[in-house]
Amino acid sequence: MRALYVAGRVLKQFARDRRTLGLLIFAPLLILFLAYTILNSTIEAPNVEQLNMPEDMAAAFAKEMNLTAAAGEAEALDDLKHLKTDAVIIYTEPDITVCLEGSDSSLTAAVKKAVASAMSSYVRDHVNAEALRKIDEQKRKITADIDAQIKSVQDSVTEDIKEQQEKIKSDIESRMSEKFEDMKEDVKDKISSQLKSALRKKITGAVEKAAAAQREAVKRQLASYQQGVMRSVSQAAESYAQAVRRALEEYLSEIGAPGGADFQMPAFTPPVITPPELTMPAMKLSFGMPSIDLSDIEMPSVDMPEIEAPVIGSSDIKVPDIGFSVEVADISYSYLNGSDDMGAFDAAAPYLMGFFVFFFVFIIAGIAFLRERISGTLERVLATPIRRYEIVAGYFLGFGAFAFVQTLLIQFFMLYVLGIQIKGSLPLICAVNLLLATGSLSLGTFLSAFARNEMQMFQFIPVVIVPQAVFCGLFSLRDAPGWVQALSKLFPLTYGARALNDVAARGMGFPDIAPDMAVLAGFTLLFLVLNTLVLKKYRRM
Amino acid sequence: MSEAVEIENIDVRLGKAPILRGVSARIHEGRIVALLGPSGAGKTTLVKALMGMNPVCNGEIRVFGKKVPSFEALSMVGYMAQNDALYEDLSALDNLVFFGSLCGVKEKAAKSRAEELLEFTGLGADKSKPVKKYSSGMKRRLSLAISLMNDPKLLILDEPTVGIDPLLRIRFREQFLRLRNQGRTIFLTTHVMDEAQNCDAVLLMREGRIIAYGSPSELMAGAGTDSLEDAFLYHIGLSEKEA
Repeated sequence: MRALYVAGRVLKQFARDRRTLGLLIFAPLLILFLAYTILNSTIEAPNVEQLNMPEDMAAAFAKEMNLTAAAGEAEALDDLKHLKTDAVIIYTEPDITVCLEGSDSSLTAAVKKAVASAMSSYVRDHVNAEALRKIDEQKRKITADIDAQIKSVQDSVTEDIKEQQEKIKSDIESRMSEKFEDMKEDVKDKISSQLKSALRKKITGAVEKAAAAQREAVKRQLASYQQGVMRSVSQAAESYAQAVRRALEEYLSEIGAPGGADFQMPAFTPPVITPPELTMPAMKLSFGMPSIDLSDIEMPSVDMPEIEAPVIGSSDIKVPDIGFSVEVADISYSYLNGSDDMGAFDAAAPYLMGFFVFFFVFIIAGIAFLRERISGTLERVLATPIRRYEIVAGYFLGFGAFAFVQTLLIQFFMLYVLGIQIKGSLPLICAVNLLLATGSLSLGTFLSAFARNEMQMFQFIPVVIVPQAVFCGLFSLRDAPGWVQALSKLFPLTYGARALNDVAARGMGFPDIAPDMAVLAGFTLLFLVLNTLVLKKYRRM
Repeated sequence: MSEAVEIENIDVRLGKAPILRGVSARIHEGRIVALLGPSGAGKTTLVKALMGMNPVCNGEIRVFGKKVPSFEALSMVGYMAQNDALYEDLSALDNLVFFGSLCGVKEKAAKSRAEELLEFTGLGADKSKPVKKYSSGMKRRLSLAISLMNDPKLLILDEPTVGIDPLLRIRFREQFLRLRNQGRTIFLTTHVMDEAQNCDAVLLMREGRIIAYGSPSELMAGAGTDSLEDAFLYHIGLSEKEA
């Protein structure tokens, strides 16, 4: 209940304090309006001087910027130095040098963007044609080259074949003739030996027959001669033996020898007659062989078929079509969220909204609470039986109500005056803003315990507010060092701004941002509890 | 006679510096008691200790038998700080009603009581003006009125008459007497002897110690002088001798 009195008093005080009221309500709107005006104004066409550009290139560039030909490099750079122009483009085939003044990043970005888009269209319109021409030329050259090469190969192949043919022919001929000679010799040999052997056989047969017959005759003659000899001899021997016997018998009878029968006549052995050895007279057979003449056999001629080298016509070789053409990609952007004409302010709007809610509530709540400390009213309030948490809660409610109004105001201003598109739900944005405001006011009132005066309260801005603004996501932290990302997690604004961006720009719903809201609520609760504890400094209970 | 405040041998340190050393005192109900001492004697420290704002390391303080710090004790006390602790943007009436409601006075009752007190302090005509337009005297009066919003039995006033003109000082004195006559106990601090003279009892304080306690006449008699200033000096000398 006492908290409500405190809250009511805070609000009443606000209502009476026109200056603070104005600051809280109109300052954020003014700043937002200024930021909107500055950030969303885009440089339509930068002023650029060019040097040495070919005509077609200059034409392409002129579509994207206010292009004028420079009088000379020194003059152009001088103009740039005195901010008369935004950039100087020097063409030194094949490179383009863009000289920038460089101190104005938005101007630099505008020039770069214009140059990039001019280059892209130039490349599309002119370089493509140039490339095609060069490719065609190259193609023709390649075809001719291939033709020449084919011809030379063909010639050399034909020659090779002819040579080879010649060689084969002579080889065959030489080998054939050699063989023919051999054959001839062989035939000659065979014929002569067969003839000879046949003749000899015949002759020898005849001779042998004659010889055998002669020998037989001779043998027979000899045998009969021998028989005759033998017979005569044995007749002679017989007659001789008989003669001897009769003579002996006579002799015995004459002598009147006893018995005449017991007498043994001595054996008579006719002399052995050895017939003379018959020697056959040696017969010599000699006969002449007829000679065979083969000289009149002709060697048959070898007919080689004519081998033709295949003719490769250059026309038969198809140079494959390269089918090359330079296509400069047309880039079109499609956005999940946002659109092409979303300016810097539109992108930053959710963050700015969060930041201003956070910043102004922090400053006003912090200073208001600080004033209570300085003026002694806090002490005076603590001299009543109020509980510490009732003071904190009262402040929380009073400022919460005020922050609610302020948040709504900022929100509607951005929405309806500045025309920021909000994709998600408006009440949800309001809820996040409110939560952010409560976090901010609890942080502000808590930190005011550590300030002795307003000046010291303002000293918290660079320490507490600026880092939060820088790290809240307004500038992408994706590639920031790890410690920066870790640090950003300690800041309530990080969660608030992210939730706002998720809802406002990305159209997310409550379930998506619930974790961020929970963290914000956690921060708020933490600072409220800390604030209650810090108040112990003023009263021991 | 019961005691409004009993202070028993308290030590108070702020940071590491000992401010009050072995302070004991009793304040009888229905009296105006002045805590008299030079600047830096520890008067405000003692007052804040009574309010439960300063930590007491030793000893004990009781307000109407209730140990300090406690909400019960606080609810019986009206407090007026040395500096005017007012919401400058709010009107006198708003200030009164606000503090009244913090003390648990219902809104309607708070309003009528505020009107009453505005009349009592002579601010009735300026009740709707924002306080920042008030003179310092008017602010003092409003502070007094605020301290009375919860109808306290004990009023603790820290230097109530600093920086106000003699005329207002006289008015304050009259009002204090009227409040005492209503049965309230008033404990005020001052460094002006003159003011202490008109109180029922005086606590003499120096360097964090109570060096004497008694009615102005008792103190003067004890010192054998007829001015409180001399009596004060006498007691300083006495306390130094003791030390």
